[in-house]
Amino acid sequence: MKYFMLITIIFISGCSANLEPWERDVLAREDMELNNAPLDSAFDDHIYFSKEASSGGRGFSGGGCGCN
Amino acid sequence: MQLINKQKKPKNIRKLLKTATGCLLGASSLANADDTFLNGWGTDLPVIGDPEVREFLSGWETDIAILGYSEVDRVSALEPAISTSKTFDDESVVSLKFVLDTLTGASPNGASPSNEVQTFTRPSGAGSYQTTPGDTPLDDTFKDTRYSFSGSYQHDLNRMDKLVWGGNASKEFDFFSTGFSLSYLHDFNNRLNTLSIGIGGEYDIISAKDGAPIALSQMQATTEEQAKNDGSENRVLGELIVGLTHIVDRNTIAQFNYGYGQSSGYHNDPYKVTSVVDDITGESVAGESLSGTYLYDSRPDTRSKHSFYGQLKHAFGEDSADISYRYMFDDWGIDSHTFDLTYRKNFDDWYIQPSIRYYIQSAADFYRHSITESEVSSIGDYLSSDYRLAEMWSTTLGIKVGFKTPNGNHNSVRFAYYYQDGNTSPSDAIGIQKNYDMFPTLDAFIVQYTYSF
Amino acid sequence: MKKFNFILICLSLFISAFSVAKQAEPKWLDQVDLTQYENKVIYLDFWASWCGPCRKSFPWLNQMQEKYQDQGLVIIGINLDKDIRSANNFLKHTPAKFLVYSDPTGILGKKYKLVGMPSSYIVTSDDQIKTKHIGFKKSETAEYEANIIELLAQLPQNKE
Repeated sequence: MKYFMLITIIFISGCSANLEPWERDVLAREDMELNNAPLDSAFDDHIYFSKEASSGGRGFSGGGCGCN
Repeated sequence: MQLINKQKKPKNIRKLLKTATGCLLGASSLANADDTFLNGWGTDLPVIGDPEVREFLSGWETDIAILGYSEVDRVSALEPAISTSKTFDDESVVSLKFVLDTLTGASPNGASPSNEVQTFTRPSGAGSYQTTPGDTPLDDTFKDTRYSFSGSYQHDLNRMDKLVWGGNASKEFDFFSTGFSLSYLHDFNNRLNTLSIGIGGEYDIISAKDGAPIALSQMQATTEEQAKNDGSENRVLGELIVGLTHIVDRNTIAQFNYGYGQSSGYHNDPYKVTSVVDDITGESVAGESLSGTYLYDSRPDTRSKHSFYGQLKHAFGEDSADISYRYMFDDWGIDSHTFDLTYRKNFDDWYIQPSIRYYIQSAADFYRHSITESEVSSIGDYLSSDYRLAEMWSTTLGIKVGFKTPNGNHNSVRFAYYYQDGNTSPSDAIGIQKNYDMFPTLDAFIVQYTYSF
Repeated sequence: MKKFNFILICLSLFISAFSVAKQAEPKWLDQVDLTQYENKVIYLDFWASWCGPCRKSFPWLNQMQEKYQDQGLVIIGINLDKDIRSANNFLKHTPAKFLVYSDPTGILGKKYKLVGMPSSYIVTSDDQIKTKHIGFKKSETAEYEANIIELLAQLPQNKE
């Protein structure tokens, strides 16, 4: 956990080149969205929630089911 | 002339018109947009006269999908879903989703394999089922349909801040859940970073048929009365997520989340039991009314979870890769690691996306695959043989292909294979248990088709 | 009769193909020389093919150019796509009824200290920034239009 926080801090403080607004073209691509297929993610989250002990992480668990 | 021009328009103009919100090309074009949208659903819909209603109904981007899930010899599910979203003139977004989940098949009830036929009572108490010697006991009572609805509303507070409100509700035969969430997103550092803070709450009602059996009590035969808790059980969950998005460079974006969840109330699985076996032979011990002794699931009435999630997305020319890791631990003694890697190979009109996921978790403090007769008096308050709380690992291999149909709409097909395994031969297996799989290994196949318009 | 129909069809197709082609031909400027637009309200709009709100702003920009052309409004869409082909592709589906200029390395973007896209700057022919706005929301177009009207009213030719 300590290492996780450390990596986070390094990332933020260190390596971000100043990106001009017109240089955000690649990041605007559909496949570069952090959650570009929310329906797929929701289906997967539901499957893993009913088969495993962990849930969430990326976002809210958003509604349980009677399966766990 | 006008007619020929229309025919020469690019085929995906329909989609562009749909995504235009209250297009200012003029009233006639607005009419076109509406007609195109409504016609997309079939010409038997009545034409709506009121212009404000027509404007509201146009511009929705919709996905319809169907997921098929099938475990070898166990549970199968079919899940149709529809999800739609619209961006309004003020850039606020409303999203709605409805999912139907039809479940059939058999699920492990927590009891261990034995060298004799085992008889179990169904959750309703009105019937029983049997397990062949050597097999993992499976309860095939579950034929259930779950309806779930979720919606969200996102709006800007100002150029750099937004709020997202969410609500959800779901219902199945013996379970009802409702929840809400609220997130605040703040862009800073020239939009190179976004900070997000969200809270969520959920309220669940568990209504096992005729009430939940008393925890740690023995499963009785159908002819005997099963002591149950009157009415239904409930629980409340609260969640907090803090996240940071970081743009590393023109081709790279990262996300870090910390999540905290706290739940309070009924956590037992009212349908699962733990086998009590002989200290030496590992065989079933005669119960009060059944040939075996099976104790009902008992879990703490609170649970605290913490999760740390990191994700990195990087573009390699026209392609991209996504890697993520989640570490979770709770106060039940479970900790888990999840690794996910996806690679997207983009072509002009289609893409292929293989993915792999690896998951590993440790067992809950009170998980036991079975207990011995001499342990019964000293087990304490909590005991569960639910495989989902056991030491376990799983691998998912997936592949997704996306393409556009001739009318310009997006389609995708996804296949995945899910394999789950645990301690099939634990070191504390006794006698006959050494001959059997003490963890119900799982193979599942997933197919999903999505159509967007 | 058949021959006549055939010629008619060919002619129609040719004319329509020509008009579609003409419609698709964007008016790319070689340079942005503000001195050319004396006594005009110059609306510089920075856009790119991959920018969602930019796509939404085009119909409105077209409407503004047409409506206030005679009163002296000149809209110049400064495109920041690294590859002009992406811009041309975009313009095929979402045509611009105003002048466009290609600035792939962001020289003008840097000059006007762009912080977001789309961004609009209303300038005079001697390069004074009269008003600027970041982003585009359909719900705010009345406000944007009011700015244009106010500045057009100040032009000498409109004061009579």
